[in-house]
Amino acid sequence: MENIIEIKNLTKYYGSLFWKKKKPSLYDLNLTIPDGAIFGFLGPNGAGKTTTIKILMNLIKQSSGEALILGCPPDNVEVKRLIGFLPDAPAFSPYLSAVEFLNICAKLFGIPSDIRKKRIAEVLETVRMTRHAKSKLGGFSRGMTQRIGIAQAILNNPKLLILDEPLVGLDPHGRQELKDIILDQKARGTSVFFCSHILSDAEKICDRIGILCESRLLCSGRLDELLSETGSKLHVSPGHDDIAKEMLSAATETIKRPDGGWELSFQNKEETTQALMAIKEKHGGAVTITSSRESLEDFFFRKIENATKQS
Amino acid sequence: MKTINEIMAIASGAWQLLRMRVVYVLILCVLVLIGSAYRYDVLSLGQHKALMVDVSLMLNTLAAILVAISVTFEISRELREGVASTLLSKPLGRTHYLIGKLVGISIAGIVITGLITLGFCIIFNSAFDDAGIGQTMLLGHLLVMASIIPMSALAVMFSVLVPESIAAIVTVIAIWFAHSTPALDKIKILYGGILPDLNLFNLKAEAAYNVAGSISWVYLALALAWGIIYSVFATSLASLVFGYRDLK
Amino acid sequence: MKKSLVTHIAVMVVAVVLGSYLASYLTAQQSEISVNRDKLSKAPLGGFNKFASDVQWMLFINYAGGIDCVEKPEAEEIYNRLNTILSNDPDMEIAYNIGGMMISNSDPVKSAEIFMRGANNANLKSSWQLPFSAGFVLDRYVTDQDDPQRLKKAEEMFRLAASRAGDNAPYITSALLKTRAKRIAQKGKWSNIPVVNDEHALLCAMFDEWRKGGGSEDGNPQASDSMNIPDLKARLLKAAQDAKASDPTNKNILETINKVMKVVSEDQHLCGNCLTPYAAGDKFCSQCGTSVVVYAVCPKCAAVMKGKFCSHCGNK
Repeated sequence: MENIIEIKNLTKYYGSLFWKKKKPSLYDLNLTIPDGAIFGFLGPNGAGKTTTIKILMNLIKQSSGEALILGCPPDNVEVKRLIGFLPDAPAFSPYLSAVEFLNICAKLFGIPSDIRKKRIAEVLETVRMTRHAKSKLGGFSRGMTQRIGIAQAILNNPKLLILDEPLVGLDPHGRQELKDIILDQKARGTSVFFCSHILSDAEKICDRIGILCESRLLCSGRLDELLSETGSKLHVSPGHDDIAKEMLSAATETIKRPDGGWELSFQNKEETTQALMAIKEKHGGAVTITSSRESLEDFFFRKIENATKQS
Repeated sequence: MKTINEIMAIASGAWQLLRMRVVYVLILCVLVLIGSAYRYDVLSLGQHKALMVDVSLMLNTLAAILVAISVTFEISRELREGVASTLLSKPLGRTHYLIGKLVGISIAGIVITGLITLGFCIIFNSAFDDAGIGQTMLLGHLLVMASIIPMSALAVMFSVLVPESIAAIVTVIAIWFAHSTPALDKIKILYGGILPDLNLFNLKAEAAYNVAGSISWVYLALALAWGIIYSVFATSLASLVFGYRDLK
Repeated sequence: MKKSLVTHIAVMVVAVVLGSYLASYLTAQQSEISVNRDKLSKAPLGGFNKFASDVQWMLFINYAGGIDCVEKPEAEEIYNRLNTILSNDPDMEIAYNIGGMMISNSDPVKSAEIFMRGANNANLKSSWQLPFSAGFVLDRYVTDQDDPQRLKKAEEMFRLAASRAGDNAPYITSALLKTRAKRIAQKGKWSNIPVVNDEHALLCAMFDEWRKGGGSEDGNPQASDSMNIPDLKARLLKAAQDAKASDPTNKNILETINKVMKVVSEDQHLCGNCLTPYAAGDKFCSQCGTSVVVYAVCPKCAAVMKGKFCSHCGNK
């Protein structure tokens, strides 16, 4: 299978059967995610990320358009055997213990009884919850609940892992562990589709992203392609202030380091590039030139800002 | 087999009710109330034997109604908090989810009413040495136990069809009027098919007087069959609506 | 989704049809099991009619314990309470018995109505007390002004009580015979013979019962209202004696006695004066000393000899 998720012209209007909201929660979304990718679905609150995930999980019905998940429509129950899903605010029956809840999930996944117990122990160990295996879920903190949510999502060794805000509620240690789990899943051949607000974490683990804003997809693609080279940086060694002053007027950003050196940023323009090349030739070892790449956070805010301006 | 496993997995979540200590405290209270009917021999002019049977049937019915209503809270809470979403993201159909809840709560209800029946039998036997548990009395209780199934189906249906805030109260009203079909003579023609006729499970007076042979095992079996058929209708309707519903 | 919709609707339709059919069958069954179902209160009590009646019954007992005497207003209150109790549990025998008895003095008509309702309840058909009490109240307390049919109803009730009582019947049958006698006396005529007094009427009533029983001491099992009245023949004789003693010269009484004795004591020789049976060979009545017609019996078969040879066995 080439694509694990294919979404065509997906639109969702919330409301009742007789009354629909005028503004869609998701509008004409087209998205394709190839097999084996870690896809970060990013966007501000209310952009339509969770709506998309819920349509993919058949928890809500699209108003129009088509979605295929692992090649099947979302209402195909059997395909869910291959999917692990963590909702944005996981909630479980408070009277059940962690093991009992996972046992129910394992039964639903059709995991044979002879390996069920072992598998549950494994996932509990993976999310560092073995200690709380027999505790009632009702007494769990947000972070502990999130960990159990992750455990139930990876219980079936899924081919596709869908995580809605998985990092919320986790402490820094927990966030790191989750990132490790996601990378581990990828290493096993699992594709991951997750949405998050924490862009720095997304940048670290995603190989593809999509940005959704006001119900519309702004961009999607490989992260390294989207975050292209946006300019160059000139690093001037201490004691060469004259070189820095020479280029000061062309720089977009200037930083004087505590050691007396300089760091000047330039946009990608032909004359700037030529000037930098000339400086490099002239001063040799006193300067270094590196290319600067936009951070995901900058990219995200730029895209959102542009979209807001346009609308 | 796979379907049964899925349904039973959901059902096993629903009968967690049986693990709540308060349920057993309530059963104990019910049995104490049943036993206290023995003390009413003077106040009832010697009618305390029939009174004890009647009180046991009444309390057993109330327990059954309470258990059935608990599922409206359970399903509503699961839908509100997203527990249902978590479960439905697994290979589980929405119909199976509802059937699982119905089966789970029915089993829980049958166990609870069964315990009350058992407790009643012990109390009655010790209170009235000469009497013994008559078949009609027992069948009266078994009918109450059987009524759990359609009542739970009603509760499941309303927890899906009506808003969460009124699901429980609508279920109570429906169960109450479904037991009061003699009061609804004019629309009685609808009862049994679309509207529930829970009065079919109500032979409390016959059981209280232990009129020998008045209730037969065949009647119990047919009433149970009606309960299951009505549950199929109610669950199908609920499932039809639930299938189109957006979940949190 | 469309397939699912069709499946759901098909399942629902089948369930509704099956459910309706089964429910109507069960409702019919239920009406057989619970014959008084249609008499139940229409109040929406959620099926707790029996429990409601139990609570109302205990409240009734509490009320009854708090009143000093039962006059018209109390009788009215008791009657209303009873109606409420019985509308929720038409089979509560004790309510008919206690309630009916409580108001029998102050409101006998309603009392009789309560007892009769209980007596006619198919689920209480083993109770002889209810029809007996109904008959008793109708006979003793209800007046003709209240109910011209009271004696007929009382007789029916006593008859019902006797049929249910089995071995407990003697005083029920006495009550029945007395009521029947009252009816005959009220009518004033019996078999075209004017009835002159109560003793005469009682004799007529007893003879009616004798005839209903096909002339047998054990009653006639074929006759629906036939009763087993013990020693009916002896009682008839006694009634005839009493009737004659009440007015020895009254020709209507004598005619009745003749009619009765001809049938009842066909093979018995009775003293013409006091109607006491006498034995073969007796010349005078052992009771009153009146001269009687001597008769002999066959030494072989003990039949009365009417000529030289026994008409029964041919013995000389």
